[in-house]
Amino acid sequence: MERKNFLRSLAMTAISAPVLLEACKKDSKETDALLAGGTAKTEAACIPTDPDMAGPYPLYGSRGSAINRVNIADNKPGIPLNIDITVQSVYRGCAPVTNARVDIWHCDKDGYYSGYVNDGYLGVQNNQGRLFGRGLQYTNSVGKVHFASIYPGWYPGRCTHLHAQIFIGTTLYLTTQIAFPDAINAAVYNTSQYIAHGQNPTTNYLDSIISDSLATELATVTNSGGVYNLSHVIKI
Amino acid sequence: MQPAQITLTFRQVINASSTGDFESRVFEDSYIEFIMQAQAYNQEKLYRTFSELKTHKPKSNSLHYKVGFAVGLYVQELGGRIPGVKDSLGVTALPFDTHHFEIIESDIEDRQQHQVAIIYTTPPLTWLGVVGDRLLLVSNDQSYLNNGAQATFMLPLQPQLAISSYKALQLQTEESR
Repeated sequence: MERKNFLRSLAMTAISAPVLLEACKKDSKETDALLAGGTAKTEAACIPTDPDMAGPYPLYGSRGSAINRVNIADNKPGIPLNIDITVQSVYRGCAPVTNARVDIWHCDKDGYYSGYVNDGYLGVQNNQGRLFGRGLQYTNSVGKVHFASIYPGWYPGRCTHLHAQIFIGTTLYLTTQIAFPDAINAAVYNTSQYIAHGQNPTTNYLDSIISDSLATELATVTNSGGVYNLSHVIKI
Repeated sequence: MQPAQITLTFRQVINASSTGDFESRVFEDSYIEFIMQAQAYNQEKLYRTFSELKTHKPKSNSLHYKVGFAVGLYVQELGGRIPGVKDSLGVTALPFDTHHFEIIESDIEDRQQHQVAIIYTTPPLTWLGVVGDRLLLVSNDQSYLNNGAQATFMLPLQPQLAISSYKALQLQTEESR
């Protein structure tokens, strides 16, 4: 079995990532022993290692990534938003998935994304080379990641939302979006920092992309003394 | 010769044959990140190369900056100095203010085909002229001269180096001083 298929089969049967890493370490040790002429287990010693793409994939930890961080606001103005996402495995009865990589990205309070040249109600902004609103974290022992950001704004045609992707190892498991409760959006967009842009006319139920997925993509958002806390469970 | 304010741009190509710690880290991590990020546009694994992906899934053009994030800290660790581009004395590396990352080509099944570029652009520099095959530029560090002369440095012309902006400066005559 090729290593990538081996990894995928483990993941599909919902073995958590630390186990994957252990499996890979074990695999490497056995391979090393073979190369060194060691006395690895008979069945391992008699079976050639499958060829596969090179590179330390299981060890890749996004260590050089500029968006591997908790605080993703980059000093952008806005109401603070704590984002807590839990990843669970459907195949293991919603047990937490550990060491999954969670990438998120969202627009600033005025509806502009980093990384792009984008047009909005304040005109064209060149945000190439900027990173605000983007981050990645690896889930902890209870399957959670935390980000500190600002409450996102909106742009025409879309409800207020976050984007998220879940990777296990190097496999992309899910690309999804996370919606905010309409009533919370309305309250936030009525505050002094957001009122210049006004209310988002595209509520969750008017958004053609997300309206049929609200059962699984609508987050819980609470207000705690002027700071908003978003919690959401992603099940893969 | 009329002085000018210029910016220089240097395109560093990194591929499987590149050596050096920085280059190796950029190569390895950008390839893994490409493999990861490309899946969003290639769920059925119909396409192997980045060129194929761009042709059939134009939105995959965003992979340039999405993969670029993966090496952002490595570029930050350069301390604003372009690797390998030094003055004629071989002492001082050319500074850069901005950079961007570009995937030249890649292949989800063959890492040897992975090739990327980091394009660095300098802060504005004062260009005084060309001497032989070298640019004569005003040094940012003027601290060690006090005789009215300007400290300068020379930069060899080389492949992948270009003047990316130019603005003529007025000559300072004795009368205008």
